[in-house]
Amino acid sequence: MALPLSYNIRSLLQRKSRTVLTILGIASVISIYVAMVSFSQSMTSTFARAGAPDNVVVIQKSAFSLSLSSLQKSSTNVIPFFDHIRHKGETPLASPELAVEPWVTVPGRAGEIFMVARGIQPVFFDVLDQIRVTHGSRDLRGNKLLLGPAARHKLGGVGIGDTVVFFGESWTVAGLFEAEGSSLELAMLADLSDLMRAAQREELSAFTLKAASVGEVAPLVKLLEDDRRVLVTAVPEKEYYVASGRTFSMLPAIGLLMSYIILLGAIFGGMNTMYTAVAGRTREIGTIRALGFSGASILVSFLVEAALIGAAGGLLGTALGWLAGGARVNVMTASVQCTVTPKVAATGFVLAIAIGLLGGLAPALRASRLQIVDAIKQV
Amino acid sequence: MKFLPLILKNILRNRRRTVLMAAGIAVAVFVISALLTVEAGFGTLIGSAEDTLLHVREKGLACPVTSRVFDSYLHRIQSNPSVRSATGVLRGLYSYRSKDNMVVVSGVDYNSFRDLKGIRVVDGSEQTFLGRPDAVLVGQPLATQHGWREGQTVAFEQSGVTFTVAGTFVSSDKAYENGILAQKEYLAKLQRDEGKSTYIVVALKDPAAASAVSLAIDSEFKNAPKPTKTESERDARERELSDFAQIRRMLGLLVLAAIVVSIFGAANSVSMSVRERTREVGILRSLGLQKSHILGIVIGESLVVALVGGVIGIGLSALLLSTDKVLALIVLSLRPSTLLSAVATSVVIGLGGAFLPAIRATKLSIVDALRLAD
Repeated sequence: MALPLSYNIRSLLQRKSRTVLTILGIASVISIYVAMVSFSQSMTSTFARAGAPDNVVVIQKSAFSLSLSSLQKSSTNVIPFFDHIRHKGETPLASPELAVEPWVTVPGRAGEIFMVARGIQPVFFDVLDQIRVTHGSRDLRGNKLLLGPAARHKLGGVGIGDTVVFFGESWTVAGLFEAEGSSLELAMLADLSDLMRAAQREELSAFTLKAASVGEVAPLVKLLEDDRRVLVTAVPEKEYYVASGRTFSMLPAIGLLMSYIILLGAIFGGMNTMYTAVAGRTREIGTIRALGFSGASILVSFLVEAALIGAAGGLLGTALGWLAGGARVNVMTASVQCTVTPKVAATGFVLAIAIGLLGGLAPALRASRLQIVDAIKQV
Repeated sequence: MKFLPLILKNILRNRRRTVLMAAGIAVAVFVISALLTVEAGFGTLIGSAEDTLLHVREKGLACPVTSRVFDSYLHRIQSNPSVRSATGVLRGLYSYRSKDNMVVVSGVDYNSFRDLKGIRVVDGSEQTFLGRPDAVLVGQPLATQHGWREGQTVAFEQSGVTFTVAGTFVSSDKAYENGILAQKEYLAKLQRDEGKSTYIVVALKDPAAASAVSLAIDSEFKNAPKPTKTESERDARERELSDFAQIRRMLGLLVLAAIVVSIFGAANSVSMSVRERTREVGILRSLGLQKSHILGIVIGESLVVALVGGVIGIGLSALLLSTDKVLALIVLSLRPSTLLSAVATSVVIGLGGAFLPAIRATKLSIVDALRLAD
């Protein structure tokens, strides 16, 4: 026969302050866990979303990233004319780009902001087709900018018509774009020649090429890498962004590792509470046994009690962790909007119950093994 | 102090609870000291930059590695009468095995760089380094981490580059110890950066002339193909790391959360122990102990357990960081100041956990406490 649930709930309410403290402890741990896992996943998915499967990024041989690459002028003239590149009418879908990371100031605000700028030509929009201009014009000539949501956020919410300053020049926000929530959304898109002039660069950073088909990505990469005229590294676009995300992977990794360790600490706390619950009720347990309840039902009852504490902590913790959703974390060329998925929230909730159960298991076993006579005798 | 034996007896009375409370605090203090070590790593990066050196780089660029100035600037800077010496550093990023293992390679003109940055070769020799073009000196913590030894060749496959380790070094500027020193000309050829530096480090005859010299340098190159930005090395370092502010705040929040969680745990444990001993408190009071004595006994108990937990936590992190570790830009090394903060944190946890239960214990009236037969 099982003990009724109301018994557990009443027991918990009788020791209110301890129950509340344990619940709060578990809740804080779970909220940290949910926030950290979400941050980590969002970091990965932000980079994983960037790029199209049929695109290839071409940078200087062995360059670490777009902004550390500069292509020799001689290769610039050759690259658009390789085989396997898709054409739109007569034009090869080869987007020449300059990637720089300027300090940007917003008039009327203090401080310089680390930003990512990309100089482009109109063909860019045909190649990076995940970019969707939502407001304003694509015509960027004359120091005009298109901003992604992340860029806008990092610049403190500037909008169309506002100006920002970098490389000693003033730039006007002419429009806004979206890129499926990917890391591309941190970019300020500018006209290629404007940016090259302002940054005093004479060489391009990179080309993004659209292969004739997904199947022709590999032959295009091989052709480019083997050609001794151009000396470049060619990488499928998706691969490039996933790899560049890895540069930042240690940041969420630290947070994640720490939250796992704190989870361990919470198990100790849960154990402590349940042991005391058992110790304080030795006589009561004896009485219940004397009434005819089996040791197994005592075990189940204490586990249920532990799970209840865990569930309460889990509810509160996932609710708190949920608040991390929408928060944006910026560091250098990464900007991550934290998304808490239902799956992560559910995992947090289940973990909370698991913490309760793990903490309650040893004390519950102890309770179920008490000898009736000894238990009743205890004062 | 005379109550210490009583406190210790009480702690040992319910060993399981004591062990669990100490274990919980140990975990928290471990996490806290690890996070403080990361923060201290950032602090050292900034702290070991010097106020008296000037840092000249390309104007307007935020990413510190992408800057390029011409080496021809070096001679013009050296001709300034206030300048004692100047050296160009060319930087590159290389990924070892994968991009999560980013290594900063600094191409230097060894003799002048060594004097400015207090480079000391620990294992290996300067002669080997200077003797072959692809030779490098590896910062000691980085070498330990990857197990790189003198004479070994290290391949950065993704970058298609192979270096030969000529030795390991330590520097007065910790920012270099997480990386590799290569010969500038060789690195320039690899990166197609001939005749360029990422930045120029300038030592002055008189540190008081810093701002005047900075102005002079920047105005001299104002109309050059690459205009410059000159500031003290300390300011430059701070600016480079300014974009990590949010991440550092996040780590700070984690520390705070770990403290709060363990205070909850400790409070729980102490309140259990106080509740169990309600009658005993009545007896102690009737023996003539003051409320303040009871307060002291309860808090003392919590403090002792918290300190034991804290020491275990610190021990764990000391074990983990027995050798310095490199984490991207920063070097993780356990510092006495971090240990002190961790101890202080355990005290805070012990006090915070004991506070409410202890107050409650003093509020009990003697008669009620004695009557309770729990």
